[in-house]
Amino acid sequence: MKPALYLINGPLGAGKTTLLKYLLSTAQFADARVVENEYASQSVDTQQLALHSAEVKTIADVCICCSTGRELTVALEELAEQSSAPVIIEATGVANSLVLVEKLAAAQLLDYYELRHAVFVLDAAEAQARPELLAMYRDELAAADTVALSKTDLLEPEDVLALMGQLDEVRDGRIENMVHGQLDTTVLEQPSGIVEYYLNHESAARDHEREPSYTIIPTRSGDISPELLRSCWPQLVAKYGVERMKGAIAYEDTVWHVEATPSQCIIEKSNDPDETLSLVLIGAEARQITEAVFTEEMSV
Amino acid sequence: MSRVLTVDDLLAMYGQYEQLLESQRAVEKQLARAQLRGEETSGVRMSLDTLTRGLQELSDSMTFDTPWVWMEYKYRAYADSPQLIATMHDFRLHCSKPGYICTTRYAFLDAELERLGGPSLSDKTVYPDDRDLMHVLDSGVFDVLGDTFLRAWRRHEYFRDDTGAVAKWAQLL
Repeated sequence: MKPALYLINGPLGAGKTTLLKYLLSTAQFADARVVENEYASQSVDTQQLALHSAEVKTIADVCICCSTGRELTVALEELAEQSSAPVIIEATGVANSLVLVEKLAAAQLLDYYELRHAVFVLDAAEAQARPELLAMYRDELAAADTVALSKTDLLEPEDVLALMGQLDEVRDGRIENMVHGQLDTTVLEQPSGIVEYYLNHESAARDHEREPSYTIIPTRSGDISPELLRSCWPQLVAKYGVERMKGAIAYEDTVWHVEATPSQCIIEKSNDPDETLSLVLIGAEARQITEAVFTEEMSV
Repeated sequence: MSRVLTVDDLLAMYGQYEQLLESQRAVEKQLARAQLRGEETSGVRMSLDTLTRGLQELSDSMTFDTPWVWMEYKYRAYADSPQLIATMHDFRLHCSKPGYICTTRYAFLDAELERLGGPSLSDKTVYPDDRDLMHVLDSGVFDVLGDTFLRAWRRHEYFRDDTGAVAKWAQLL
């Protein structure tokens, strides 16, 4: 029996990992394996996912003299050989789902897997704050089998309805409201149409223009409080175009897990006391944020 | 040992690599569509294999004869990319990914600098994050590195496994 393959994609910080964690907590996906594609060289999400899934393969930040570029193929070939348990691919947030389908097909991986469902996670609050997101991701919104609308609890019900109306204009398929990653898993058993979509449309270019930069800031010093980080976050967004911050800080003998998008900065006690103490920041000018710059921003 | 490549040679090779990559992507698209439509794919698959092999060979042949060639190449090759490598911060970040060749190169170089009593490349009081990588190179920091070190560097950089396959830095990865 071919393992079922699920694709999860969506912009940075949309809630892909939250959905993935939820899926792994359900009976249906309890034995699922995960291929996690991280944009930065540090695997924050992998650490988190390792607490939930038996096997997580990470493909992170590559450069041509360091990599063969076959990581995805190799990872999926290995997983297919191991067992027929489902595999979930979580893309970077910068990747294009249709290009991913293309790569899977070209590598003949669809001979070994049954591509079961493609979910595109969209942060409702971000989509409302940045209407250009719908245009940026138009192709993928149209191609996905299900669009899972996250963080709708941050919007007024009428705004959610308006957003769903806008999405209806872009796509014919299913749009699901997803609160804290909890998606109705029966949806994922609906047949996938993404391959058909791919074949019927000129696939999107591998668009590197939307590639942001990233930085990694160590936070071992213990002098950043959750309140301070939360209060400085909007400044980092405005000044450096940061779209995503994730990682952990230590403060007063407690490890705090950090997950932030422009519209939301969530800092809560980490469920992994060994979590790496650093923050990954991703965005247009994120690479300019050195440790010194970060310290300065925290002191303003 | 392979021919010693200058930074300009390497940049030209990087340009070729990018062109090959573009061609590979175009053929991959063609192959994906043929594969999904159940059409004959052997010809296009052969083209893809040839391109993939060419990319790998080119990547294998990109060798850095000295740490300074490596660093200058990094500085210039990525100048137009979103994740450019212009400062010590960028360079350290690039060389921080566990299990990757550049991380190994960096650790090897840094260990030797420390062994010789010099400051570590990770010492931010000597090499602040915002220090331009070319300034570091021009500062004579590597003057202390002797022939023994360079021989060891090259042994790893040009290393081939028992089958003769390129295996850069494999002994330390």
